[in-house]
Amino acid sequence: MKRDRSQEALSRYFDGELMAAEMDDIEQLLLSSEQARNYVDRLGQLRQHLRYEADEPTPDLIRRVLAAIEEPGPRPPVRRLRVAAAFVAGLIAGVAFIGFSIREPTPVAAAEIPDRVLAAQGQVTSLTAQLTIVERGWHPDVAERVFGGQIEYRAPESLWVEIRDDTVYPSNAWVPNHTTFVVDGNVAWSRSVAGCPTEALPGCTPPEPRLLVTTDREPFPDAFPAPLDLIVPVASFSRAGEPGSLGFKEIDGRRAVGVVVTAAQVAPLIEGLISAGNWREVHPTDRVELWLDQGALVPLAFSVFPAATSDRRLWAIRRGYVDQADVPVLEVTWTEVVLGDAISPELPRPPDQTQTASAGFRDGSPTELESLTPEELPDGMTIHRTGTIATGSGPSVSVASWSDGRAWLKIRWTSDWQATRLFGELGALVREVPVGSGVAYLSERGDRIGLHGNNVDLVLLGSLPTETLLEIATSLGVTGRVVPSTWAEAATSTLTDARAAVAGLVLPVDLEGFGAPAIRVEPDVVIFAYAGPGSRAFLLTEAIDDGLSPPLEANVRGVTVRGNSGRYSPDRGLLEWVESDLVISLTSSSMSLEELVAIAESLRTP
Amino acid sequence: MYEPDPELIRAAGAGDTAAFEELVRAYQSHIWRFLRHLLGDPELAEDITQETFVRVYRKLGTFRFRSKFSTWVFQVARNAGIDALRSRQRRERLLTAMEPREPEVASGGELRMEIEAALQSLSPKLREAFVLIEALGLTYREAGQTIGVPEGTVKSRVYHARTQLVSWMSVEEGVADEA
Repeated sequence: MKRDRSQEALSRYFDGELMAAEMDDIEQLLLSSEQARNYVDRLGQLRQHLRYEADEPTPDLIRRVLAAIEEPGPRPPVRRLRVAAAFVAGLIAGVAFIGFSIREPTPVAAAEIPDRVLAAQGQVTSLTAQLTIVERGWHPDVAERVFGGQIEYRAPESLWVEIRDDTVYPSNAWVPNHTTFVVDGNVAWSRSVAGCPTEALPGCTPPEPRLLVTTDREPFPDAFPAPLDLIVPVASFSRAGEPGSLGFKEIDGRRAVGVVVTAAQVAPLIEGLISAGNWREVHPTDRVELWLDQGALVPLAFSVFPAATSDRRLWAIRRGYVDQADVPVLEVTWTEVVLGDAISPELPRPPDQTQTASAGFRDGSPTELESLTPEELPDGMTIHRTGTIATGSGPSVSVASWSDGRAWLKIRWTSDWQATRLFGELGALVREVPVGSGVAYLSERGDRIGLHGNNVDLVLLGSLPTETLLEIATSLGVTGRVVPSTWAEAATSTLTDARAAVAGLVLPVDLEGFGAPAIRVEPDVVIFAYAGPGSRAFLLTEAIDDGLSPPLEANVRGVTVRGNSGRYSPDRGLLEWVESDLVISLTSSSMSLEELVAIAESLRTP
Repeated sequence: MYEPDPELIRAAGAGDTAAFEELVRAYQSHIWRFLRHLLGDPELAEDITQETFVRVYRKLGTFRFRSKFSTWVFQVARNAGIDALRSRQRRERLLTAMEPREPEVASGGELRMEIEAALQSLSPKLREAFVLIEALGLTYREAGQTIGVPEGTVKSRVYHARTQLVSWMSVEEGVADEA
């Protein structure tokens, strides 16, 4: 490398703006050249002085500025948006609706959020808070609905969410959307009004609320789970890339750090509030401004703004929503947040005379528990609930769970698994990973590990990072075997197999916020499944073919992808094009066309 | 860089001084640091920071959320700073501040003063790009949007600014840099 070019590249390297392809050359240069290292040292000295070292105190110019704007001159018109007026009134009255007192925003804090959320979950043992919810665009005749409520939580999974509809409706024909949701040990129940299509409102809503009660519930079940992202949004930030930063502000006396994410990413948080009852939907690509307590990482507020795309507008029209650009469709605020062991929320029992459904779990101590207790558990994890599930048709399943605050771990196992797929609902696409001297199968989302051992099939799952789950699986002492060739997961493949199956294969480069893909190889077709936080996920399919099949939908539109003519189906979230004798497609129900095109543009030969 | 809640911007644009005060509080240190390095004069930077926010206040009604608010504010600050540099009334004060200084032993605060002096020896175009990247930590794209040039131009200007500053540092220390 010439000196000028190398210094120019070193300058960009120092700013973190080097292309990935140049990185190797520059790092080699820094290893081999003392002069290059000296140059970078000099740049570091300059930065030290200009960015980091104590400077003259920054003058506080607020009084001067405010005095200056009072001087004669053009004044902006005095007009107040509805929300702005409410906000300002809150400030004047000293009421902490959302107070702002930004001092020194540090974008680095936002970058740390995914890791910090995972780390913080073990610290939250109890929480109580008041909820305020504003929903807009639900129905043309009810432009805005307002809710109050409360949330009470006791670790690891006892939770009570009570939402009270304070909306003034046009008439008594409208049924208030009061909602109760309770999970307490082996019982979970909810009381809410039934959902209804917008065009059929208000007449279609049954006046009596729907009551659902489940007893004999196993810990941390797939069905009727406690929406624990309302406490610490772990599922929303597992595998997440660096979120956009909103800086800091005060919310009800708590220091909050703000991030910008999509509704798909924080779906476990949003759905925790609106899954029961009659609520509007939010689009997966909607922008969410989320504020978390800077210390405990519990949510303090979020606002959902409609994405400004034609697909999103069409989606809203089809549902009868009246959404306006830059006006949040959903705003939620947690206030009077109390954390800590001192509180012990009392959770309500379901109403008497209620029909219940048993999930079949019996607390107890399974016989194999001792041999299947992991030798290595994260510090603080203690046994939570254990027992067995016996149903008439399925296998007998044993369950053991551990917890530390909101963090949890569960192992389910059986010795009479007869199906031709992995035990544990790992999904269709899995990754084979080495565990100890055997193999295990990792779910697409990285939150479940399946083991097919001698006389035992088990699944290990939890809210912990994938790496931690793998370490725990290794300490179980169960040697996992490769699944039989007749099982569904036998088509699980490696990148080497994929390259051999489809010549000219391309993969995303510098993909942030997604785990390694699960790979499936079929004759002339390779499928890569990428999972991110929340419900963010996409499939990349590459097939040996020379043309697209006729579209199935009416609203397909043409798109230029990587210089090729392609098409996009918003109904299926499918972007597809032909390139070098391959039909390539990206499919996602949670990502926008713009995001899919960006991924397409990043595809390179691995 | 912090981006305020759109409702806060709207409230400020609607004439609410409490909301505008929060915007000033959020950005004043960044704007003052940028202008201090750009102008080389802390007191003048205070004046132009005040001028920047007065302009921001009067133009808030025209902000259409098509760019980041922070980028827009820096654009206003940059224009105010350029106006100041061009101002005949202040030129003499600037020229005084930019007069070559006697070499001093570079240590502690003195080294910082020397770096400041070296910074002022750069052309305004190189200096503004360099300060946005180096002192404020903007990306090349953000800096390009602020000063209205392509990313590549920012990259080039930052590199040339660094070359001159590193050369200056090496001369000061009597060490030829050959990286």
